[in-house]
Amino acid sequence: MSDENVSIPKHKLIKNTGIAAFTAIVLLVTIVLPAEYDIDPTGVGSVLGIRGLSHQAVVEGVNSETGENAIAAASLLHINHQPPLKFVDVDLILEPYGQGEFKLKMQANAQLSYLWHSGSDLVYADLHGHTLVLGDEGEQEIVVRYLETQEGMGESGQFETPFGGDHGWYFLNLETRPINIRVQISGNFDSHEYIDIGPQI
Amino acid sequence: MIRRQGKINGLLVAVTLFSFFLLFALNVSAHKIGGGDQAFLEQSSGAQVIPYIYLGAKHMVTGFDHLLYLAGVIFFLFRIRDVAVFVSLFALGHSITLLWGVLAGWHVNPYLVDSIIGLSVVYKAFENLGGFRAYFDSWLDTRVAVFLFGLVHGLGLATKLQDFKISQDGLITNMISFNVGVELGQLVALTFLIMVFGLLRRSNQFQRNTILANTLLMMAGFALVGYQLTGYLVLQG
Repeated sequence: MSDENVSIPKHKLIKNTGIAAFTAIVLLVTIVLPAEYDIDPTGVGSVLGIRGLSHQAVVEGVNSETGENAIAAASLLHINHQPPLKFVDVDLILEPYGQGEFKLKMQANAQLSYLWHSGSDLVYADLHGHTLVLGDEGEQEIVVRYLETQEGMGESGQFETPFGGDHGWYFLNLETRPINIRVQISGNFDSHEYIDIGPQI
Repeated sequence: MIRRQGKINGLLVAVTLFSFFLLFALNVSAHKIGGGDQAFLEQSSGAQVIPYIYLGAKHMVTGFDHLLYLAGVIFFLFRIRDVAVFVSLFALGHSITLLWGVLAGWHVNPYLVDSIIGLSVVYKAFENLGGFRAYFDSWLDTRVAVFLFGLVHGLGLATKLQDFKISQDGLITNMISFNVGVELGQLVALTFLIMVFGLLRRSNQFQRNTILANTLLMMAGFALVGYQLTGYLVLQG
């Protein structure tokens, strides 16, 4: 029954198989691998603007008003390639009513252990994460607050990032004198930075 | 009589296209089970018959690798009886490994399984081009091959189902529901494929289109293999 396949000459068979394999490899290297895995040996993916595209495709259509959807979508982005464990131990100096933001660039599902303390000085702190997603109306920022400390002198804990992006603290000095906040962190973050925003007027 | 038949065919085409459209609209990503579905399933425990049937069907209809392989399998099958024999063998194969794999808790690497599934597409296209017959006097019977590759596709289905972290509570019901869904999804896909090939056969350039179609099919298979193997090397290695 059913062996009604075609008969083509051997040389044509080899030729067609070769064409199929060759085309597949070209498509893979120039389009699929850049878009899916961010591997772009030829540079064609960047030229076409599809490099790392599958990441954006997943978050498309996310409604920024509902943070939960955003987290669910953004958490799909995670690729299990976390940077190695790093440590930071820094002293931040905030002027009277000074504000600052200590941020860590982290991928989704990265682990972080932290401890910050300000001695006996009162501080407002807000631990949050934010990231840009491509929504219906272009890029939108999602901000998710994890923990808020109204008046505190320190906090410690650990968490796993629900999505890739910036995660960290906004600090506000509640004292009328300059203070020192010590931040100690270990985790799989890519980089960290401190931005001094200046005093709150 | 002929006109009536035409109407029914037109209706069938419309209904199938519409259901395809719905399924694709619901799930843009080709192969992974969507985040929302996954969250839903992980929140719920116990037997979930309809959701798992739906997910099985959705996986089949939106899984390009299964569809391409099916397209290769039925390419030269004119008679519905032949289609039934081949598709049953395929379904038997993938049901065995789907059920067994989940029950026994096999954790096969999904990238490797999916690359073999890609290879099954290459194999079928090469077979359709008369490739094995050109070089070997006797080669694996096409029916045996479709059963064996059914086993591999089932392993792939098992890894997808295990991705849900399916709870032990109601495991068997959910697993069988998923399998039923897979067969239903396959039926939908087949209806569509059979109609398309039916239309293709009517054109008198069928022979030339056949070679082109199977070469394209082989190319898609090679691309799937490369895509999955790279995934294995990059993300699992």
